[in-house]
This record gives sequence, C-alpha cells and structure tokens, in this order.
Amino acid sequence: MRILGGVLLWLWLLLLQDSPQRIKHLIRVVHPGIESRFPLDYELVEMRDKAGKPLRYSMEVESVVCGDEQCRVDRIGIIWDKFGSFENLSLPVGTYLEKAEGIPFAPEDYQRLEQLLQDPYSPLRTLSKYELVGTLGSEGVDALSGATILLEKSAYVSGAVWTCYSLWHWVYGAARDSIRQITAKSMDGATLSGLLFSPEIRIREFALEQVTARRDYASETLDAVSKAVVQQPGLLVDYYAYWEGMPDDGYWQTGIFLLENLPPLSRIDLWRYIARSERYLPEGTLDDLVLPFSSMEYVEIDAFLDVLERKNAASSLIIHRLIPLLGHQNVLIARRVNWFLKTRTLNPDDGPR
Amino acid sequence: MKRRKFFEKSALGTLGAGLLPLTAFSMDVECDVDVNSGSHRGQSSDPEQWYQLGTGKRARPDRKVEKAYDVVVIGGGAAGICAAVAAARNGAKVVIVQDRPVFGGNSSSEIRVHLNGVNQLKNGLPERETGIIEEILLHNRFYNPQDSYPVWDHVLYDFVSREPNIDIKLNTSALRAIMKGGRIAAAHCWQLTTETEYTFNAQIFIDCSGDGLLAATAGAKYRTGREASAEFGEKYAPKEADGWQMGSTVLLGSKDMGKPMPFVPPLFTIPYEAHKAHRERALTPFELGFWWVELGSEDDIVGEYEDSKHKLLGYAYGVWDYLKNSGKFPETENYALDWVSSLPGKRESRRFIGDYILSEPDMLGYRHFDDAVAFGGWSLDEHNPGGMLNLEEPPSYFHEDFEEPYQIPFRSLYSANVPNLLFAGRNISQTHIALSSSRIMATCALEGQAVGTAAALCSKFGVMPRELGAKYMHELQEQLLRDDAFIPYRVASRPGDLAKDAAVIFASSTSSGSAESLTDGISRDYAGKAHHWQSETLPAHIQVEWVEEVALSTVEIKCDTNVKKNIMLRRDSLEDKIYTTQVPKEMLKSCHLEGRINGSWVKVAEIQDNKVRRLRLSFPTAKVTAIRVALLETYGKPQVKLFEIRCYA
Repeated sequence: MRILGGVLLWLWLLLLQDSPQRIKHLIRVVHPGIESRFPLDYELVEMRDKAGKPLRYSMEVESVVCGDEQCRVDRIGIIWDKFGSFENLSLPVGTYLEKAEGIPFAPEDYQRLEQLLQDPYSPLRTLSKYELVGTLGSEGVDALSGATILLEKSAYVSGAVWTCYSLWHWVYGAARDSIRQITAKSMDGATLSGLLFSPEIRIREFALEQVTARRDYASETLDAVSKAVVQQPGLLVDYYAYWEGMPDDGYWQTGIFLLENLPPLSRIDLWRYIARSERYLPEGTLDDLVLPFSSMEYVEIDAFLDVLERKNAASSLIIHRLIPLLGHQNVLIARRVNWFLKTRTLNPDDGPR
Repeated sequence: MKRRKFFEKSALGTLGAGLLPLTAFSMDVECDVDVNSGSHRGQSSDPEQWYQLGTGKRARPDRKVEKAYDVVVIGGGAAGICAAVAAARNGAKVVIVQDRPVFGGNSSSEIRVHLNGVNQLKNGLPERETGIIEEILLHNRFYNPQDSYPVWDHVLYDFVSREPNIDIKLNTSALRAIMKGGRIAAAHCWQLTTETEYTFNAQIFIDCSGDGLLAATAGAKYRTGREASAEFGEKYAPKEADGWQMGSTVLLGSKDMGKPMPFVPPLFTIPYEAHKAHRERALTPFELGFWWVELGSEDDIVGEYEDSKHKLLGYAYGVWDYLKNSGKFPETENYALDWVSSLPGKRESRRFIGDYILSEPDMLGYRHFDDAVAFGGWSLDEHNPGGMLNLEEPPSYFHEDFEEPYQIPFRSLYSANVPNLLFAGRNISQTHIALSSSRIMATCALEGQAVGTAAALCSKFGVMPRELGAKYMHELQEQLLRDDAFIPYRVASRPGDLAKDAAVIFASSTSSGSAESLTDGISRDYAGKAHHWQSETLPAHIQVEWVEEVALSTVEIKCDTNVKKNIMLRRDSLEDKIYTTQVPKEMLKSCHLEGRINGSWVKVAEIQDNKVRRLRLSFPTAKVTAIRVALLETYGKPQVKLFEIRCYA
C-alpha cells in the first residue's frame, strides 16, 4: 500500500517537475557501499508548500550498491519528510525490487523493507560492505561455498541484504543532514523554539540540534530551551552541547533553573556533568539554589558534595544548609556530610540558624 | 543390551598396568645419575661404555625421575592447558605432560586448525567463551598481532610457564597408568629429548590427550564409532551402529611468489579425482588448504595413524597438483606451497565413558543440567565417513546449527570406572554425534577449566570426582563463575563477596544497563537480558558503599571484551562483523581503585595496560566504608562496560 502511495507520489513529482515549488539542491554524498575517493554529487529535491516552506524531500538513487555482482540495479526515489525522517520509497512504474536469484520482492518484503528503513539504529548502521557477508564452514577457512549473512535475520529482508544495506545508508546519510539544515534555514528562531515543545520527540531533538548549531542564546530561546528540557528531561544529553556553547554570563543561572526543576535522576546526571565540566564555579554561585536537601537520596547528596569538593564551591551558606543532614536517618548521608564538613573550616556562625 | 556389551568389552589394557610395581608416593626422587654400579633399578650399563672425552669413561646414564604432584594433566592442547592452569591457580601442584615440542594441539603451528568455539549461532552471532581460554586468546592478541603460528606456540608456552604451580614436560609421552587399588597411582612417561623415564605420582589425573592412552591403560571404559540412532534417540545417527570415526586432516598453506611457480608433485602424491568430488569440496579459496583432505576409519584409527598420514600427504599434494597443473585454476600460477603439515589433526578416536553420556537430544533440546560446567554451540558438524575415500558425499554434514549454547555436565567429564580420572576434550563421555559439535577446541578448553578446577577442589576436600560432583557441585560452579567461566543460566551466588552486602552501588553515568546489574550474578548479557552497566563517557566510576565498615583486600571486576566477536588466531586474519584480529576496543585498559578510609578517598590499587576480562585489584587489607573504581581508558571505545564487581576480605 505504501509502495502504491510511493508510485502515486512519483507521478505527482513528475507533474511538479517544472513547478516553482520544486527546488533542486546539489549535495555531496559519501555512501559506505560506494568505493570512491571523493564524495559524489547527488540532486536532492525539496518540495515546498504554497507558503514556500519545505514540505518533503526526494532523491533518486541506485536501488542497490552491489557487493557480490549479482544484483539488479534500478533508479528509485527516497522520500523524506521535512525533518529528514524516512517516509517511503518511490518506484517508477515498471520498476520492482529484486531478491537473490532474481526473485521479485513480495508485498510483505516491501513492507518489511520500509519498516527497516524507519529504524535509525539498525545494525546495518555500523557495518562496512565488507562486513556484510562471510563464509562459514568446518574448522578450516574455506568451508562451504556461498556467502553467509553476518547479521541478525531481523535486520534485513531475506535474500536482499545488499538492497537493505544500500537503501538504509541512503536514507540516513548525508541527504538527511542536508534536509535538516535546509529546513532549519527556512525557519526563524521563534518557529524553531516552538518546535522544542512538539509532541514528537524526533521534532524536539531536531529543534534542539538546530538551535545548538545556530548558537542561538537569545534570552527567549534560552528560556524556551530550558523549559523544554524540564518538560522533557530526555533532552538533557543533547542539551549539554547547547549549554556548553553558552557564554559565562547566565550560564550558572540556567544551570540553577534546571537543578531546581528537573526530577532527581536528571538532576544527578546534571550534577555529574557539572563535576566533569571545566567551567569555573565561583563560591556562592549555588547559594540561591533551593533544593530539598532533607528528602534527597544519598546518591544525589554524594554527587552534590562531589561538585562542592571538586569545584571548591562550598560557601558558608551551603555549609549551613548541610549541617542538619548530620542527623539524617540515612547513615550514608549523615556520614558523607560529616566527612565533607570535616574537611572544611567551619565558622561559629555556620551552625543552625 | 548392546550398550552394556560394548562397555564390557572395552579396555582390558589395564591388565599389564596393574601389575607394574609401585614406587614411593610421598617423595620426589630424581635419579639423573651416573650409574657406575650398573645395577641401578635393575638396569645394567658398562661403566666404561661411554667415553666422555672431557671427563673420562663412565656408564650410560639411566635417567629415571619420580615426582609427586596433586594433579597430573596429560595433553597440552587447549583442554590440557586450561585444565593445568585452572588446577594450578586453584592451589594444586600440577605437571602437564605433552607429547609434542609445543603446546596447542590441533591449534599449534604443527597443525594450524582454528581454535573455534561458539563462533556463530543461528542468530548469526557468536557467544564466545570466557575464562582461561579467553585469557589465552587475548594474550595472543597482545603478543602476536602478526598472527604467526610459530609465535602462537610460544604465546601458549608463556601462558603456561608463568604459572608457578605448573611443571612443564614437553616431548613427553604418557605411556601407561600405574594402578593401585583400582585407582591410577602414577603416570609412567617417557621424555624423548632427554631419554628420561618419568613417574608422576598424584591423587588426580586428567586425560586431555585426545586419544587417551593413559586412560585406556588405566582400564577406563571407552567406545569408538557411531552409535545406532535408537540408542540415544539421535536423529542424525545411523540406524545401525558402526565403527566409523571422523578422520584426521592435513592442512597446507601457499603463498604468492610474484612469478609463475611450476609444481612437480612428489612420488607419493595421490591424484585428485575432481570429477567425482561433491560440489562442497570447494577448491577456492585455495591459499590455506582444505579441511576436507581427511581420512577416517571404521576400526583402529589410532593404530592406523601413520599409514593414514602417508595417504593424507598424498591426497593433500594431489589436490594441490590438480590446482596447479589441471589448467582449470590459472589463479594458482604464481602460488607455491609454503607449508604442509606433517602431523594430521585428529578429530575422533576414543570416547571414554563417564557417569553420563552426552548425546544429540541433550544438545538440540538445550537440556538443563544441574551439574553443568561448560557449554558448546558449534553446529552438529559430522564429517563424512571415509573422507577422501568417499569423494561423492559432502565433506561434512552440517546437520543443524544451535539457537543458543548447550550445556555440558560434569558427569561426562570423569571416568565411570576409574575413580580418580577426569577428561576434557574430544575424549569425554559423549556420543559420536555429540562429538561432531563438542570437539571444537574452545569448547574443549571450557571442559579443561572445569576439570582443572574440579581436580584442585578434589584435593582441597579430599574427595574423588564423583563425590565432588555429588557433594560439592555448588563450590565447583561458583569457583568457575568467579574465574570468569560462563555456565548458561547459572546465577552466581558469590559466597564471601561483600559487594552483595553493600547498601548502595551506583555509577558516575549510565548509558545502558544499570550499576545494580553488576551484582546480579550473571556476567554477560544473555538470552535477551542485559546484565551490564555502561557509562556514557570516559573516565567513569562505579561506587559501592556499605553502612558498616568492611575489611577488603581484593576487588574483582569483569569488563566487556565483546563476546559477540571471535578473536581466535586465524590463518586468514579475517576481519569482519564476527571475527577480528584486534584487541577488543571495548576492553578496559586502565583503572584504579580508591577506598574511602576514615572519610577520605585513598588510592589502594591500580592496573595499567590490562589484558584480561576479569581484573583483580589486590591490596593490603584496608577498612573502608566505600570503594570507587575509576575506569580511565578502554582500548578504543568511548564508553566502558562492566558485567560484575566483587569485593573480598
């Protein structure tokens, strides 16, 4: 059904060929299956809506980069949405994909292939074409004639490993990066910031990736990014690259906002990031931080104290807040705080206030 | 009935051995002497026979040495090495007796078979062996990056000789068992190079020699040939039992000389009848020889060996002659033979009878054994009866691959009727069809580690193997797991491990798995379940904390070496998805250990340039409330993955 849709789309693309809504971009592609010392030029076609905004993209490619010289090669189209996510294949009328020994793809093979192409983490990702097949045999090296597929069966369509490999790398190669850049370029900061709150995580990741690339630290963007991370702590790992690019001014203010609003597990992750980071943490910076010390788990207390120790950032106010934890019912916490405080010079007014 | 008859008729070879005189058990006696009296131990030698120009006339030395050990290991292949090292590391005094000048058996430079194991299951991936055999293969990756077989021999020599509890006797054949009270009291051996007779006394004997001459002369029951299908319900066994055993192979190697190289076959060459050959007798690639140049036997395969070898050399040269001179392989024009083995690699001969005979249904049914101590997973790869005499058939029947590893029980690794005799390797208690899979060397090596450990525990507990299996199986399996062997589905209970009592265990960062998994008792991801922790970045650390102070002197961790990739030495230095010639990039290279002592972190141990999966950080006993393992560097991967942490007093 999706392939039929692809065929119709292909016809639609043909009709649009001379339309001003169809923009061609020359891109340079390195495909792991193609032996070439230099990137090859390919034509990425951007389709725009009536407002002139990117709608989707297509590129015509060889159906298979053949590793065993036994493949039939056709020109077919790949369609992506505007965020570079694979949508479907587009086969010209009369074109069909072929498996080993010339057997045409069955409808379920097409369905399976499109499922595989929607997986950005496919095992095909890390393989070179030389790793795709090998020989298996008895104790010797020559063994049985014929290739043995060195992949989990779920990672390819049986009899069509080269097709799966070729197409997956077209889908997730340079074309996808170009698509994301072209689309982002068509958006202003407010639009990108708005996408940070998309219900779809792939779109939120796209937005964060692009604001990071733009080094957009305008206060409204900064605010949007911080709130988006709080709303979706899964973005934290990608957020570090954005945060690290930020100038000192406002850096810790942003950090404190996150520490006060993230859930405990993400907060621990952030503490550890801070401990590893080379950013200078001036003493007193964390004085404004409001955290529920008494209800924090040991692991977080340990991570927090680790930051204070490594950054030498314990102010007298922080010490004052820690002292009640000496009586914590969790022995590990009380002991850890005790040992931390023993390394500090306490003032008479550090006691409970 | 038939089976019973077979047992009864086996191994009368004990008769002579039982009559041999026993020698003193409790002391080592070295008699490397001039026997001028001419009467030493009943030998005679003319005191003037040998005119030594430097020192004068004297008698020919009559060299006899008698020594006592806890464990005698016969055979220096993968199984024997692992047995000896396991026994030695677990406290036993060991001698390893090897009848060749090098260690390695079929994998040595003399034969050059790949040290295969669970190379590839049905899912396309390996489930590689860990423990001592992995340590050996890693040792080779570090010290033999050039993939040289002669160097591999010495990688193995280095690996064994560095063990302080092992005496090595190369070029030494174990000729017969000396029996006392139904047990083996000593192994009578002959060292070719020194003209020395050795008598090795011990409590436990492990026969890893493949053919098992010592065991046979001890009267241990064995069988040869193929079981009838009905006996064990084996669908791939023949309907009627017969004597066929899989054959031995002569491998060869060639190299491109860069110019045409004519080939004139030697006179013993047997022309290769290519027109008769089954299509699976592939002639290309040709560079590294043909595993199917093989001759089996349906009778006395041991006794026929030298005659078979002569024929095998003829067949091997015949195939090469066909490649070079038939005109059908122009690509061989510049190639010349570079090496031809003079020692055919054996696949099958005696299979000794234990308390359990492992069979095909156990393997294909993935039977769980409470006394499982090893595993295998090479396909049921039954070579063609007759080998080169039966060209029309496929060279081997790859009956079936495995979904997951099968288990090997301890009861298949000791003799049913000689109480102090253990086995590891192709001579264990199993059927012919079971052997078609389990004969693979890394599988044999796991059996070796199991019986070596068992032998040491027998000494420790003062029991024989059967009693050990009945009363101390938990101890045996736990020791194997601690020493990084893997037993499918066996969860380590880790007695004495203080990490189990920790209040909390956590990591500096986690990209997959969880820090808690490090104490879950399974030290690899298995059956679709994760048992690891992996950091996001490096450096990283794992922290373990206790409520009460604990006294520690050892912390052991198991790191990732990617058991989904094969790392054995191969003649083709293959590099692909499941084979590599490289040190695993996942493996931990350096780390240090800190203990929290009186509230302060104190570095207590460190390891640089680690070369093993199971790292042991030892230090003077320290009282700590926490430890922190700082994981600094891998051999290339930007994250570090661990599978286990243990802490001992």
